Amino acid sequence: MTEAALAAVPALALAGAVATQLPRRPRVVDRANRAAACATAALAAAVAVAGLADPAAPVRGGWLLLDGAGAVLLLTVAVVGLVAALASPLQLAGTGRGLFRAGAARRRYYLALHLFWAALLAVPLVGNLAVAWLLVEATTAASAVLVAFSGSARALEAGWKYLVLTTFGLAFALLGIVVLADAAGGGLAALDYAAIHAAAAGLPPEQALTAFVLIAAGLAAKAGWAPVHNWLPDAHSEAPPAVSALLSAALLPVVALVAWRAATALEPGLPPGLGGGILIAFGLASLAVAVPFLWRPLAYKRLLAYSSLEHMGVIALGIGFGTPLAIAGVIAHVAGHALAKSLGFCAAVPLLRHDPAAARRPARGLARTSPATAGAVGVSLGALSGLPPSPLFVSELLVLAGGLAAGEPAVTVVAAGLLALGFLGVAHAAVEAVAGESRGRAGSARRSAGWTLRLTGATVAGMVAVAVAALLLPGSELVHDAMAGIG
Amino acid sequence: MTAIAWILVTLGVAAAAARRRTQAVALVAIQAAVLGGAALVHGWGDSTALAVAGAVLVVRAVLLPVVLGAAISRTREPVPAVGEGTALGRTAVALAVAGGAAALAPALGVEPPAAGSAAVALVFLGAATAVLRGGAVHQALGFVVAESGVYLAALGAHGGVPPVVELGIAVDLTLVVAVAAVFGARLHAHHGSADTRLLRGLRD
Repeated sequence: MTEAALAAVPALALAGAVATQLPRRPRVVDRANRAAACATAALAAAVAVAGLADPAAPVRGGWLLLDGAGAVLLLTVAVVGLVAALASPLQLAGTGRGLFRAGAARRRYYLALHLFWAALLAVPLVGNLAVAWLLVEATTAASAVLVAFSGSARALEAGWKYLVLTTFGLAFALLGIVVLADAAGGGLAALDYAAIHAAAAGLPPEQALTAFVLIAAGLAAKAGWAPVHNWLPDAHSEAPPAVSALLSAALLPVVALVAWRAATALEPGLPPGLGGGILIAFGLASLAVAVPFLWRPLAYKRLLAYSSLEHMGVIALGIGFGTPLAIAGVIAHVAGHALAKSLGFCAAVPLLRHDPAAARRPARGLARTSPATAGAVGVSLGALSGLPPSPLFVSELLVLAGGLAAGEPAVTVVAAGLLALGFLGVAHAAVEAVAGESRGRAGSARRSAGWTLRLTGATVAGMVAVAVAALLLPGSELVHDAMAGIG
Repeated sequence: MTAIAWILVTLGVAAAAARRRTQAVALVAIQAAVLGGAALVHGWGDSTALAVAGAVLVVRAVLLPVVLGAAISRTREPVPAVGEGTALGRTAVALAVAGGAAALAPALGVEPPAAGSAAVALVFLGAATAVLRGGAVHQALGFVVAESGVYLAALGAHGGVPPVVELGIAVDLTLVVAVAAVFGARLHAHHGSADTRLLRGLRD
């Protein structure tokens, strides 16, 4: 595989953004969106599969890098982006004036969506910390517009919080990158992950530590790790559902990948265990903050938002432990979470159309009023709770086993306790949503019901595949490469 | 460079405390011009560095103030924002934030060391501006002040920051400020004011 193939992935997404601006009629704009999304996802998936086929031989060139971890994230972002793009026409049906005037809203939405997706697809393919920062920052403007797309006061508030908190967070991360550039001697090549890793042991210890703390804290604000997560529940709950799926299932793990690569690259220059320790602290804090909310009767999308915080905590713990078992768990968790969360948010499209009150109150009794939506919500929440045989059950076990292997029994016990509590909270919400006392009326739009059923079936098949893969991951070449890929 | 660094911090404190939005935009534009001038002097003799410094100067000292000026003209505030304290109080808080951040900042390694302390002070001042001031324009100015701190640190870094990164930061900053201006306009259309403290609907 060549560098050109890697560069073509975000380039095709950018071309898709342009293509959606050319037609005028809404139906043709939707078709352009679907065609662009299918082409982009197909290319990204092909590149990712080629990367996964030979993870021991990462593709390198210029700023670009495709290693095992990058390939997993690329495939994840491709799938989530495709689902989001295909769900968007249903979600946009009947949309009037929001942040943009009614006539232009649909095209502006697709422009922002495909630009956001392009930046997300590019991040896993970039082997340079400074360029990765630029791409992560580039997601901010496009995704803030999408969060506030409805133009309601609540959406504006969510978009504004997201814009302010993540921009300031990334300013701190950028200061850390400047400190690192100074220590490494300047030049763009000095900020390649591999170059940082090679030079890290010789960096002034105080500068390496300052740089890492600033980078980790700054990226944590964008990755939605507690205690700098405040934008996350609001943005996820107020954004259009397809955008929420991209934010939760693609943006957060992509930023976590950058944090992981930065930690791995700088590890030889940091005090032993410090990089992993900081990530473990973010992970435990995220679990501890999320779990009490998972027990509260929250509106459906807000519940999914706090679930994202919980699962980002699991991912932070896994990369903090850094053992082969934990990394295997992280890989499976990223993929499983992406599938379950995409389905969950996309199920919010028919759910909110059928029962608008679910935007402010917990969903209840969907099985009686909207069986297709109930199936999607049940599968999504069941998987997110970690109910066996969900791939998230397997991945969480792997992360916890990795914690024991890392010699962190106390952290592992606390995390296991929090995950058990989180399971009970989400499982209870799933039962109430599917089989609780109904407050809506029966019947749902046939078109969205068919789409929801097909998406649920595809997601179940994907989750079975991820669960099987998760069992095969420990000891695999992919895990070995993911742990050593940037060196 | 040390004197310039502290002039930049002084302008940042003044922008955080300024009563009128137009005054704050003007102060941040002057700050960007001073910083851009320092970058031009720093890059003298290197055509690439000069070109990049010139482009960044135009973006930060001209384009961003124009965008924010347009946002102000579209969101006239009938009455001054309330609940932001007095100008003297805001100055005291901003000085305390800047002084505290500069005093407690770890050595960044940039030259001169005072530039590193001033850079950290500016990043915290930017964040403090967003906390102290409710207006969308003031908060957007907070982004610019914080990024000015990073730019100052980059000027003092050995070997500098790669030109492509400097240009990328300028583009990203422009996009973020433009989105903030759009949000401010929509907020004004909803509430008759672009004060973000009116946004208090999302609580658990």
